[in-house]
Amino acid sequence: MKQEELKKTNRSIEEIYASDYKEGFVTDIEQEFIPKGLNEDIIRLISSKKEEPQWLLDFRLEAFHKWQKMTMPSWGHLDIPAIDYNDIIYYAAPAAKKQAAEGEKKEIDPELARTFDKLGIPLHERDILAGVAVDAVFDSVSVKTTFRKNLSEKGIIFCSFSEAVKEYPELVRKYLASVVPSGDNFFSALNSAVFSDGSFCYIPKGVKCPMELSSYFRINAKGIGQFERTLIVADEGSYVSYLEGCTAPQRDENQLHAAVVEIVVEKDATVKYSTVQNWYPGDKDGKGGIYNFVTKRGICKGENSKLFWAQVESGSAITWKYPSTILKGDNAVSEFYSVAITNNYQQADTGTKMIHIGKNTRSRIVSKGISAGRSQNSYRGLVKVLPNAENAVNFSQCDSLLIGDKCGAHTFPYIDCANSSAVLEHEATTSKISEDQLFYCRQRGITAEDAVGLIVNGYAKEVLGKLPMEFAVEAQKLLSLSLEGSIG
Amino acid sequence: MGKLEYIVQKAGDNAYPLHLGVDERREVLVLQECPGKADFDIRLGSGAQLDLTVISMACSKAGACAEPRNIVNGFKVNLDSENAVCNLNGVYLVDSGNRVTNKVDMNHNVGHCISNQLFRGILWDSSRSDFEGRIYVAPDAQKTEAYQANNNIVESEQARAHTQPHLEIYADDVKCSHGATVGNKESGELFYMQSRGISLANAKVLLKQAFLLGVLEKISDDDLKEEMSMKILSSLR
Amino acid sequence: MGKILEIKNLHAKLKEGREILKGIDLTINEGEVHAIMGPNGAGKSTLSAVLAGRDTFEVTEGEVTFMGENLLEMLPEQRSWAGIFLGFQYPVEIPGVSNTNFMKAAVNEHRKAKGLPELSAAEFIRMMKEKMAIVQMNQSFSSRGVNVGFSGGEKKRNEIFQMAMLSPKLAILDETDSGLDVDALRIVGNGVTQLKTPQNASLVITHYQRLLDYIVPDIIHILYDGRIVRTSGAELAREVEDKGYDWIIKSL
Repeated sequence: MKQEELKKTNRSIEEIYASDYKEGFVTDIEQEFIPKGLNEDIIRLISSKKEEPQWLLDFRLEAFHKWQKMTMPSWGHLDIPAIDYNDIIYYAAPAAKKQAAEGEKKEIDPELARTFDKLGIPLHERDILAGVAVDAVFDSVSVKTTFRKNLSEKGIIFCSFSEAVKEYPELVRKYLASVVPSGDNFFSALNSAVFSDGSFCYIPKGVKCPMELSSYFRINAKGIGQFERTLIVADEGSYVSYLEGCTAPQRDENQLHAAVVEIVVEKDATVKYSTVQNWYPGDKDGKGGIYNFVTKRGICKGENSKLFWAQVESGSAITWKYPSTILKGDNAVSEFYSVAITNNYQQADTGTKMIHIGKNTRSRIVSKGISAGRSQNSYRGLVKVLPNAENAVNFSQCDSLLIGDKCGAHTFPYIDCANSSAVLEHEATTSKISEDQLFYCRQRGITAEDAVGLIVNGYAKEVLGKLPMEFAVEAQKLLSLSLEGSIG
Repeated sequence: MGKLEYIVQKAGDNAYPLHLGVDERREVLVLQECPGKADFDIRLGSGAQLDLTVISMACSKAGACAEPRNIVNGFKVNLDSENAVCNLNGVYLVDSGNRVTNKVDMNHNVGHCISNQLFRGILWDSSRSDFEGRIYVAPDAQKTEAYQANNNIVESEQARAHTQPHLEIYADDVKCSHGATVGNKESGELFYMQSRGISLANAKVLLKQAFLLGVLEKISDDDLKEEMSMKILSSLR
Repeated sequence: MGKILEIKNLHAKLKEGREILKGIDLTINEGEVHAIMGPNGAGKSTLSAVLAGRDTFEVTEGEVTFMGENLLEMLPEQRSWAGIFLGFQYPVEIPGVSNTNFMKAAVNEHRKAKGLPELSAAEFIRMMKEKMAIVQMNQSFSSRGVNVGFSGGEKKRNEIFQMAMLSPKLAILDETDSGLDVDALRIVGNGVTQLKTPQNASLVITHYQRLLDYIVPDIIHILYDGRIVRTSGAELAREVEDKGYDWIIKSL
């Protein structure tokens, strides 16, 4: 069928795109900002706003000094425009926040509640999907953490990072930067210096967390960067499933998001960490969108510990992200399942690192990249086996799906093995949606766009199946939506 | 196919300009038993086919040269005309403190070409191998087929195998794949052989032979294939 | 007896290539079963692809009217909604997409086009079971990827199952018999016969006569070099079987 005719009957690409990113609205709310710029005074100001103890200010300043000596990493298959770090506002909070700050008792600004409602994250516990507790972060602060009380009855701590610093300083101090040292990389150093809020979660020994815990990150204000920090500690024999979602308004300027996530998994404990990343990707000409430079890392510290990553990356103008696991304890297991989809001018360089230290450690990597439009999509991964990691096993499967002939798909796996008993396998394939598949679907009455959605979801099925149910449905829609306008 | 060209590489720097004309076919076998560097500059005319096999013996049992025997191979391939076929095969045996590096830069600058890479090696003692293989498929290089595989068996705790296969693809109607393995998923086969009365040590050697013969069978000349096989088999342990 | 399909002087060529259909005239009415036979390269598969809207071919001349509408102006999916079903010679594999999801999407698009609401999950499953029985398809097929890992026979049965699900006005079966053993041939033939009603029609495209033992056509056309060179009753198939195409071509 002729392309022109296809366009006639389908909605125009522009039309689709305009309605595409439904999270692109701005909340009109009175906000408190600190001045633009990055220096010691700004860091002291952030720390004092949050009434932090001296040790944490010292931690920030030390990180800042490290950051000043570092340069932005350039090894990614990314074209990152220069970023003026002095042109960013590092702290913005809804003004109402000042009045009360006592966990669940505080009344949330109705306008904020409406915003999160609109995003599908109702903050009133009676409205919430049963079984999901939410920490809602709006620009630089956590505005609400639900179900705190119910969880605390089991000894589970789930609160904003700022509250954790005040209420559980010894826990925070013990684990902060224990997985991602402040000087680990350029963006972790930056985050360590200026982080504003995020989620903290501690599951005590032997406790199976009865509900999914989640953080929802929302960027709202213009000109700000978001630098949140998440710290999850699963003590011996515990279990938790954690979800993370994020969105931002549609703007012509780029905005920076540089988060750090640290996960500690003790002996016999299991953590599942799922992400649906839907930051504003920029428009069809590549204007605007979030720069998403994130360091996520977990350590399987004790024997038989398990850490499972599952992610759907559909948003952001540029994504630089490698959720990683250090398999330290013997018999530790980690899996990384990822779908990264890029369209228009989006760029993604994402993957994982599996560092095998303990004996009989096993890891599995399944990465599905989908590139459309003029986007560039790269998988980058490291599988490293240290000399003592007897019988370590890794299997990696990295597939790329190309839609159209203007995009690129790349894989950069790195295998480094120093143990003779290790078995490491890596496979990668590249494919396209064939004309035959498309025609077959259309002959059965499925429109070209729906057919692409169907085929892409089939391609990503293995990964989607790893997400918790509510998330999987959302992710499926997101995949189809992200590709609208990519054919025809 | 023309006659196989067999080259025993000298120590030091070596350059191999392999520029094939339209529809030309060449098969080249290079045996490396001395420390040194080899630069393969490969350019293929339309319809040309090159079959290149490089055997790197950086192990003490073989060769006349003194150790340390570090061997560095650079393969720069430019496929600038359609319907060319480039087959690169490598075998490396590395032991004591020796090191073998294979660096492949496979550029599919135009469409309708086929490239295959198969590199296999075994490491003992505190040896090291590096494989860096890049496949680049230019925009509009449609109907490209590019395959790459690197398999390593590591026989000691001190040996290190690094493998870094890269795919950079800018065209959509292509068939590309790469695979890399370190280690040997052999327990099933070993047990099978043991159950037929073959000692564990012998069974392991047999499996390593099979592993390397997978590459050697690409050599079209039977006498040379036999010679290379014997050379390699006598170095196995 | 209403007219379903009317083809007048249809010429078509490969998008970048030679002319394959050189003036086809064909009319199919409700309740009729037509068969098109012909040697390899006669243009049989091209005709079915052109009717289904495959864009590798370009129509250069002629008209095709389907249920009173200009078929050539429609997208492939619109032709499907209008009631054209093509049973593929080589059914396409779609990894990861289960048969159930695939058919659900198709059935609901058809219903949407007719202004009907989507089927509930229970209704849909009941319908699936009922139609799978027609081709004696195992329930386990429903959760498997579309045609992935299916044998040749299973693929063809899946085509007839899909046809049953979509109840087309005109079923075009392109070499449905290729790669089938006798049992599979009988199952497929019976399936097609069961689906026959006085309101629909089929166009069976085949090289061999054997499928026509199971699907008995009312009218047989011989296609040769892009033209229909002979049209006759079911007895023509026997003639082809006995004497081959050469005899017919020579007798022209």
